[in-house]
Amino acid sequence: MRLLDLVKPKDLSRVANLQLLAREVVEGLSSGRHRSPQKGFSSEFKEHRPYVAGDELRNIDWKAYAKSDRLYIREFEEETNLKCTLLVDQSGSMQYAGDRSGGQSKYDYAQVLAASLGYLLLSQQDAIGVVTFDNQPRTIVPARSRPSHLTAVMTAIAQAANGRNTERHSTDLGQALRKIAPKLKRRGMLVLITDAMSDLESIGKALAQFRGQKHEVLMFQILDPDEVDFPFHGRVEFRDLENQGRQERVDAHSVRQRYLAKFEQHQSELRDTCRRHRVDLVEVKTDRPVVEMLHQYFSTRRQRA
Amino acid sequence: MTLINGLLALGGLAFAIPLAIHLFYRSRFRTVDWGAMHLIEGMMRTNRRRMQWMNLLLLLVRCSVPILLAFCLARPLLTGFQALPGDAAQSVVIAIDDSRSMGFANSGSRTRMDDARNAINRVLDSLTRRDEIILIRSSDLTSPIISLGPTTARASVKSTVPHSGPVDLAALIRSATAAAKQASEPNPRVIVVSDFQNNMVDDASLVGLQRTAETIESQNAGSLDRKPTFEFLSVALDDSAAQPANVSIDSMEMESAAAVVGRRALLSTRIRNHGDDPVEGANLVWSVDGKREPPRAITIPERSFVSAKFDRVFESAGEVVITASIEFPDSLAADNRRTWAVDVIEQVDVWLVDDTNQSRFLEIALSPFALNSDPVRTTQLLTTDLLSKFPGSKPDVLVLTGMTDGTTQLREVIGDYISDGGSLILFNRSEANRNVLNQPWGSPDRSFQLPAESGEFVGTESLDGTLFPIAQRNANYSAWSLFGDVSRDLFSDVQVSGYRQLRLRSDLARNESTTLISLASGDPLIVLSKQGQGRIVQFAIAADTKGSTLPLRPVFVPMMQQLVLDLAGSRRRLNFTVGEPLVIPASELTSADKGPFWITRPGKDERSISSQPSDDGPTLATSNTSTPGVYRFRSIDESQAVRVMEVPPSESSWRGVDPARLDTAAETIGATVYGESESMVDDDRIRRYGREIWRWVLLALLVAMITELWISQRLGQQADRPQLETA
Repeated sequence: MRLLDLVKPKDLSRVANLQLLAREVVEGLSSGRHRSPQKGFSSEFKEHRPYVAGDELRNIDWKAYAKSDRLYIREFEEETNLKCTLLVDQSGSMQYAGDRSGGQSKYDYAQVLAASLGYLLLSQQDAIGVVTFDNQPRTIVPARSRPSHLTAVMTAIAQAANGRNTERHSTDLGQALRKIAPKLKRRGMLVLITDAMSDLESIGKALAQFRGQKHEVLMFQILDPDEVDFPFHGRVEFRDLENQGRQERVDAHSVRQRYLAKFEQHQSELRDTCRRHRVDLVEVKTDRPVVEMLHQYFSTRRQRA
Repeated sequence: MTLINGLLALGGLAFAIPLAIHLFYRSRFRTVDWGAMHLIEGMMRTNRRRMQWMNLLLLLVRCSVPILLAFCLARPLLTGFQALPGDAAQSVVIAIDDSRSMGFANSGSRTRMDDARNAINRVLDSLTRRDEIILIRSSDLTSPIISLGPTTARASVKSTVPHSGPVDLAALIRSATAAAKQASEPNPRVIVVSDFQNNMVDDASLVGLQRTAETIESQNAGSLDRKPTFEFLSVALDDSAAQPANVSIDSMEMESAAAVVGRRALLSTRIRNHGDDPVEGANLVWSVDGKREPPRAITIPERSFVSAKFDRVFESAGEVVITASIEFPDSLAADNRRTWAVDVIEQVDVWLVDDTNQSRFLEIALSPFALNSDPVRTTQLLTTDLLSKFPGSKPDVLVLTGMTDGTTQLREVIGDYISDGGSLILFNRSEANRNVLNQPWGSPDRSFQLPAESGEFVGTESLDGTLFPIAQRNANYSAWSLFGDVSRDLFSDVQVSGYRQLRLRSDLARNESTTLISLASGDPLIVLSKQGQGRIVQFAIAADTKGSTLPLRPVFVPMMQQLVLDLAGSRRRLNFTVGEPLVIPASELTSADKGPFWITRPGKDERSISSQPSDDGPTLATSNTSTPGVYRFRSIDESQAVRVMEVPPSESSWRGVDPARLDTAAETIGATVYGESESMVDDDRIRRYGREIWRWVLLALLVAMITELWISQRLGQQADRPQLETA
């Protein structure tokens, strides 16, 4: 799959103008625009320290010596590139496509979002990797900062998309994420793209584990408008996207109020969980264009930074 | 239950259509592949059960719609209510109250009688040509029973005028029941159409109704199909409305003891205002023999009455018709006038027969000085003179005070005089021979005994002895109404120490004897009796002070004057209540007692009337006296007799009987009370054909359709896809 199959060129150019900066320090393999925990030599001056035997003479600040008659070594803050891993939920529930989203399923939306982020990060020389999962990790693409790596990322996402109609799995997000966590050893940024339609307690545990590994976690919750306002009327047979063969017939009108109450409770608990673990939660409805959503989000993020 | 349009009921099979549609669409659901199942998991079970019930209910409702529609169009009849064969002819006796009160108008120009006519017409409209109708008017209960068809009956009802007097409900029911007996169809209906005034359903009527009900029960014990069904149709105006304006002349009477030629006679009338507002400036007009006197304006406070007097000096003897009328527009015009007939007499000729000089008090009492005029001419005679004068001349009143010798010849002469219409006042002395008094009086072919048999003399003539107190006077004797209220009786200070016992003969019922005054012991003191064409007044005491103080008391003079004038002047009763039979002796018109005779009823042309033989000679009689007004009899020699029929004032009462009382009366006779003819016709239709229930079915159909709509909306059947929210 090519990037342009998912993102229009016009939108792509808009995405390229964006800049995703890690809010926290992250470890990278090469120098970049993100702060690194190591001190090194770069254009960004950090401090002076007294000369000790063994220091290279080229690092002595002769101007300071001239002023103070003491030898000082100039130190610069090292900048690194960002290692970002996209965690894309490809469980059955992500296959839902409501009328108002123009036939686009949540996973379709997640693909576009992941591709946009991948393009964005590679374009700013950051390393990007992908992990797709349902009830367990399915595809793992390690993070690379080469521009050609975008193809591997796109292929991993597309493979998951191709297999979604033939194989449906229920998602215990927390359990799947906990299985992914040991594979992400260097701290970096994790972008979790999911609908979070799962046990929130388990998700909370996984988020806690990610945070314990010093990862910055950003969660995009992908929701279809139908899931938000439940606009169904009359007799409706709901077929479970995660468990084939499970179906329920209900009078949608009569259950609507209770559904909305339960949905609101779910969302409230999710917000609490994210807040508790300092996870940036972005609630996204699929009837909203990805680029527009990203623009608004990055703008907000920049202001908060 | 039956169906009037039975074939249309087959349309109910259309219930199969919604059933098929329902079954066809039962498995059709909108299918949604859903991810967030865990959010709706808990609702599934209860919602599924509820949906199943709602679907079943919807199926039932949809199937019931065509069934109910077909059932409604088929017009079902509940035959459980049917009590009579539906198509059979029926007999209907309609008893109409045509009393004066039926002429009451409401705020418009419609009267109760108009309402009654409309109601009866509605009943007649519901009948067929084969049905038999018998009309009975309360004013003419004795008329022959004639079967009518609806058209003839309608015309007859139209001509009915409210004019007669009070209705006796029991008598009306009896007449209607008698008519129903002669009906040709089984189970005749008796419909009483009336305003049911208070006087119509009084205690006596209830007792009469009870008896009538028992009679009907006993007569129809073996044949239930002859038992009539009774229905009361009340056409009274709304009692809760304000009392409409109505002025009536309740009564008219002579205040003078008699109307004497050349003497001033005084009449009085009582005018009542029944309304809630005072009547001011209404004109009271008197007229004598049709000649109007100048009107006088009168004012009557609300809910009260006033009395108006009218005096007149009559120039000649004879019967005079005096009418009082109030010119005032009100809700019942008929009671604004009242007519009274007065018998104007010549000077009263009194013969005072006294052999023992006991009539000095009487001479004074009957003198012109005492009467303040000279309507009475008194001649004092001895018994022997009486024999010589009779029968060449006769007095108007003969007074025997001290008759010592009651010879056979004297008794024959006096007896014949009484039988021919003379009046006798007989005082009783202690010395009088009671055997003579108890002997037959009159010539042998028409002899009679005095109505009160003379017994022993009780007590003494001296007032020093035991005194016998006097009980109250007879309040019904109109001549003494001049003396005022009975409770303040002027006779109470009269002392009686000795009197002759008078015993009314047991065969006197037909002689109409009346005790005018009695002693506290119960013995009569004064007895008035009718004998032949004359009248006899027997005193138990003497005309002087021996045995009583009556002649010394102030009441004595007016008592004797009233008594004499009553005996001389009012022997002929000229004023009657409508409905009373009217009988006058032919001798009043002509001495020959031979016809032909004619009668003129109020508002009618003169008709000939035949004389009827009776014990007292030929009489002219008519029972058709339901119309108020003047009835004139005429003989071939142009002699005239006048009688007046008037309606009692109770007919001017606007209020109807208490509904509870009417219900009691209806319950007594087993009648059903209706306020409107429509409900009566509907009930009859139900009794004959059963109850139509299509209205209820239509209502059920509407309910079913609304329910279907509601359930459909609930189930969202009409929404094939979810409605998008644009917010």
